[in-house]
Amino acid sequence: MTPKHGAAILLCGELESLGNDLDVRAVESWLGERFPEARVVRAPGPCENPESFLNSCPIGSGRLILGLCRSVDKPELHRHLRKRGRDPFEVEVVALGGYGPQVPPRQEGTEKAKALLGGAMARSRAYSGSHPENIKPILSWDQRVSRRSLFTLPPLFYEAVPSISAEACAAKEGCRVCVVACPREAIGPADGRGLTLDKSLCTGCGACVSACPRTAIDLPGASPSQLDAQLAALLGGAPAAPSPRGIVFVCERGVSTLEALAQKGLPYPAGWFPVEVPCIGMVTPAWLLHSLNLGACAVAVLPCSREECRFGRPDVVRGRVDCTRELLSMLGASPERVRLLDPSDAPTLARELASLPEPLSSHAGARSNGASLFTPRAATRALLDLADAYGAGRDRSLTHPHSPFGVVEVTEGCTACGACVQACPTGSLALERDREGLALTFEAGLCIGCGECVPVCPESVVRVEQVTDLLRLSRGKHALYRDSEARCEKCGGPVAPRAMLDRIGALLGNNPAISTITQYCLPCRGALR
Amino acid sequence: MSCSQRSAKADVGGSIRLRELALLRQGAYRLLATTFLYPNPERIQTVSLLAASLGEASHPFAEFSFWIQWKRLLAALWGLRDTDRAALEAAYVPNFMVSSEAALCGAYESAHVEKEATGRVLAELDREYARAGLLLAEVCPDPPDHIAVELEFMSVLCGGEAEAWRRKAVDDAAAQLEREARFLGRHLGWWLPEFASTVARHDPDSLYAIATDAAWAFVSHEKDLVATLLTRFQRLAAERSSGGDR
Repeated sequence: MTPKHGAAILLCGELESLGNDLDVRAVESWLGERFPEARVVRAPGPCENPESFLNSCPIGSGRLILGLCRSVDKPELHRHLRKRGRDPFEVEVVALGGYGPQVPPRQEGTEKAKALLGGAMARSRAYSGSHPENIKPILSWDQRVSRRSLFTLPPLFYEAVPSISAEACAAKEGCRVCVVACPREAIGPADGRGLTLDKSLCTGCGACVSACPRTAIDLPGASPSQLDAQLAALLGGAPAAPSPRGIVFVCERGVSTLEALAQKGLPYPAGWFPVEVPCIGMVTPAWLLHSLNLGACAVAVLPCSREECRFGRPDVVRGRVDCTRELLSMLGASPERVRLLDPSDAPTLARELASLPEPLSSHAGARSNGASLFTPRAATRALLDLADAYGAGRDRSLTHPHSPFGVVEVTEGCTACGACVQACPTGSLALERDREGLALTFEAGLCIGCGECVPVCPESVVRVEQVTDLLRLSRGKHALYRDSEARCEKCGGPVAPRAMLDRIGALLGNNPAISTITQYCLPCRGALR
Repeated sequence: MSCSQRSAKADVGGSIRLRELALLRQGAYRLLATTFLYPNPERIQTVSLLAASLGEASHPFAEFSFWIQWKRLLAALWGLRDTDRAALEAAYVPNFMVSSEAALCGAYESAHVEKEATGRVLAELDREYARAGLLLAEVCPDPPDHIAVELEFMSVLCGGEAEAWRRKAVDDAAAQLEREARFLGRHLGWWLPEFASTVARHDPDSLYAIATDAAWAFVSHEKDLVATLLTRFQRLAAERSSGGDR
């Protein structure tokens, strides 16, 4: 489904009575100036009764941003929107009451509301549509099966699940990064058609989306470009206050935990900006680094409670946060800039959010471009920019199982056959010809340490380590192995690398075919017959 | 959030009888099948009337995820008149006509498989139809793998399912659901997405683009729904056989 043009921003008429001194008129006026294509409407009732509100409000057919007092039940809102023929993923909800500052000066609350709505608008603008494959119906199993219920459709829900673009997917070259990343084994090979997603197993955690180095996997509502746009707007967009700003990646099932702080009267700094994701299983060290590089002074990760988690791998979530903290320490920055929050207890959560460190004065913050959040190069750039900002030397490295980077080494015995190059989903390995012959090159800045190159090596000489090595990351492309190429005796064209021919010779022994293979290129060999 | 926690706020279900649902699905498949047949005055009138009866927001379909695409289709079909026939023909012929080698969008399953697999697909379809006691009428101008024929076949299967529910024959209904799941998995549901994308690319503004979009959304939902219902019955059967019958 392709999104339509135009937009409406609807603000709940009750916002002013929330008690956090939000200047709704100022917000309205800023939105009108900032987004001239959008109609800004203030109307009563969306929080209390979304259905009758949506039925009575002239929301048109374009993008829709709802600025509400609190978050609403998403499945219910989606149901109402579908009934009206609206694509629910095209709609962004901002809980201005729940996410707003609790005890701020009036100016800060208003500025935060503007920034949150601006972020939602950016996320909505970046939405590129969905497919029917992105919807998963789920039947409720908890009903006791009575005679009547046996003949009745059980309660049915819908959830968003990812879809894989066959054109962009590197499965054809052997990439299995998403298969490994999926905690539910929901992704598998399809008959000659790349990979397929088994919806019945998929929980929609989005781990595959952030793992894919080709951005070939899309999850409507939380696509790479949408999240990137929202982050860029929250950190780089106007207005200037509140400052400093931190990002809280919050699981959409854990949103209520953050809002509970407001309900319980627990304050936290206005500078924290929530970015809702379907599951914290999506959030990688690269995201955390990228957010810091865009200008966030701190980044926090707020999961849902463990029983509800779609990802179901708290060890991995912790490992990723720990890795990022260690990376910051490596750079000489405070690891406290990255935090894993505990959703189980509101006062503890409030304490964890109570402080926001000052931003680094020497670091202006990079500018986001496109879907960079999900590309290996963006993570490299973020880390190197941060290293420069903290004055960290290039001699530092960290080995960690959750390192977003890897280092490939080739030991003796490489024949430059190119199997590893073919398998590499990011293009960090390449075979290049120059005057000296053939070179197997490696660019650490593109390597995600997936290890796809290891099993395909026929000589078993490729090694990969989960290492973040600043020197190698900044070094760019360099040769791992060099060899000269034998030239065709007939036409002078390339035959094969010398080491490969030696290997073939060793395997074939005294076979008379060996001289033809080593002396002539493939086309000339064909012509000899 | 687990399903049990959300059951009080279900998107759909809880009150729709499976027999009524099977009848509605039967009607939906028939409407789609008729839409993809060559547009003659009788068919234009039929789809227009069917669309009018389905076009109420209070209709049970309005609760399902495919309603977004269906609403657009029903709005387009509802207003169809015989005077639109020339425009429909002009869109139908270049896109789908069997006689034309240059058809832009193959409205046949075999157009989406390797050439060598065409025979296998047609033979499999013949077997599927025969297993359901059906034989393609000699007067039918379309081959067994035409989208309209496959949609019509699904309509027949849903009719059989509705009849089983009417008799309260749970095992028969489950067997019918299995047939539907197999047909959707091996045939219609497999190639329809590609077909829909092709039509959207070649003729994005025509009624047929809206219809294929709606068909894709509906069939995709059907695949998931039928599979989920089947899993439910299989679980019930397992409970029954292990003595856990309630």
